[in-house]
Amino acid sequence: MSAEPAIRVVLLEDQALFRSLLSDLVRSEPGFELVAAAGTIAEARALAANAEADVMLLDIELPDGNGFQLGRELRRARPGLGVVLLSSHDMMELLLALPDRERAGWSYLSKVSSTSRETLLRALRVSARGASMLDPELLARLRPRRGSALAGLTPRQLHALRLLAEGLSNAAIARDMGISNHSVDNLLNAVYSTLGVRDDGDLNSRVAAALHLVRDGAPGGAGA
Amino acid sequence: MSPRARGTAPTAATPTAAISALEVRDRADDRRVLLFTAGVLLTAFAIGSTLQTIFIYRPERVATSELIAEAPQLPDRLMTNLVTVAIALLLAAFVRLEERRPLAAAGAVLAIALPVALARHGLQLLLGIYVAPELDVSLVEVCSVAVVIVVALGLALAQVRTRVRLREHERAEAEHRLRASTALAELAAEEMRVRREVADGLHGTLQGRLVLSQAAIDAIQRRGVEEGWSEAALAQLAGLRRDLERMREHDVRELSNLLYPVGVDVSLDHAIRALVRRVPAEIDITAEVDPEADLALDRGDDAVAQRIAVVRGVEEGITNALRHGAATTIRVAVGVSGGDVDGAAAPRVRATVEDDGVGLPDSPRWNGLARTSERLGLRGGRVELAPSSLGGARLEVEVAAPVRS
Repeated sequence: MSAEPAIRVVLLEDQALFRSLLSDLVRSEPGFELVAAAGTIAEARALAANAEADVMLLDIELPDGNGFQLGRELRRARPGLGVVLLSSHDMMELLLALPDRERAGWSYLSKVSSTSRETLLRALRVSARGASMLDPELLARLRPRRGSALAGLTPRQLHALRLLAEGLSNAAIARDMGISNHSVDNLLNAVYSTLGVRDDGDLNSRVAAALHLVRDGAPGGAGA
Repeated sequence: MSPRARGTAPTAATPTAAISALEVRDRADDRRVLLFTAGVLLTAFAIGSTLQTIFIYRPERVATSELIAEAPQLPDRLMTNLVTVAIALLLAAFVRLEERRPLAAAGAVLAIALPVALARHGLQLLLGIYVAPELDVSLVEVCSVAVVIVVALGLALAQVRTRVRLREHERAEAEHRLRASTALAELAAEEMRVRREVADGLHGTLQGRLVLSQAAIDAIQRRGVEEGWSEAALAQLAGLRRDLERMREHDVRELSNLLYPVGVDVSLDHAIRALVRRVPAEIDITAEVDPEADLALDRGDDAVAQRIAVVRGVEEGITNALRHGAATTIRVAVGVSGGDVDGAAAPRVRATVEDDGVGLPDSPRWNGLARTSERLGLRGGRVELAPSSLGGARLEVEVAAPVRS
């Protein structure tokens, strides 16, 4: 049995059935604790003020406002809080609106992609520990835009970058690609160099590289 | 308590403090105008009559030497008249003449004029300007001065009344404009709300149902494969699923986007990025949005409607560049121009879309641009199409941002 404390989750979803399904999923999963579930921004704001949470699972478009804005507002009060955005369509570029120092700990999943139970729980874990994860299916559809730095990556580098953006560790990327950890290091260093990203304190190079994929990747490809 | 203060009470719709402050300012302004106008007129009479009495008007012509002999009385006469003016003004201020109704004001003017005229004559006797004058001389002195005071105060009151009417008219006009502007803003907000609700319905409810329908078709397909249905039937099902997928991924999203562009409720920056991301990967497109543009639009009550106007303009530029210009490179830039440091002048948010396409056609098709132009015109904006330094066309759209309050 793991001695690690459970990850405390606050849920915000306006569709009652979906909220109930997500609540059941988080409650039933060992290592997770649902501390509050809300259907509106106002409700979530009030609940989050009184609940100790590690991560918030937020729908974006809500009847009384925008979940992304709420996430930013709550993060200003608690910078360590992870945020997983869940939306019915690809709005990953929302993450580009975040200032560098706020970008860590944000994840993005689509409701209508083939997001699985495991993917959702992984996103909650990743965000709770301050890292980021983007929807694997949306990432697979992205194609490098002509003229962008992303277009300068080799297919192998692009694949490694997609895995990184999915929130995988270097060891997991190595396993997925069937190469050594050292090769993954080299591959990712080449990616950082081509994209011109570096760890500058405010913005982790992994997060910065993943956001390059969002900024310069055009959705709608056939998938990889 | 003043007559006006008794007659007015703050309305429920307006803060008491604001009304009091405004009324106090108005009253002070009215009093200043009354005293200034009456003061100028009375002082002119006072100086004029003093000089006239000594140098011009005499019962009979006298020699210059006698005039000079009379001159020592000049300071006494002038002082008497100026003291008279001061007393008249003090009494007018004391009884708050400008705040009284017309009849009461007329009575108050007479009540001021007669005693002041009598007091003046008394002072004249006291100072020896007149020594044992005849009754008709005293009557002329008192009556003429009373008339002068009545005329001066009457003219000053008329001036105050004119100003009050003008001020009330201006305020009524301002209130009318404010009501019209509030009604328009409410209408625009309601339109935004409906647009957003319909767009949310399309995104949420309709897309959700389409996803469920796709899942149902998937299940039927699996059953068909297990039960060995014909290839034609399975292909028909696969085609149906593709149609649904296209409706969900493309048609519904486009329709929703037409009503309420993605990201406009967050910021202009986000909405422009969302728009640019939808452009096919084969097109080299970049967008630079100055954070000041969002700050400028956020000052107003209808920031979302303003953002939509700019996003629609940029969308028009990108669509034209791809459809008519066959462009492969597009540059979008959004910035702010104009405005001043103290916020008195409105800044303008300007978006430009430049492309490397075939350039301007001989007769540009202005259908889409005309609609964009009309929409922007309603917001004090404009649209302009010109050749671009990239070799294609340059579309510039501009809206007036709200003035900093």
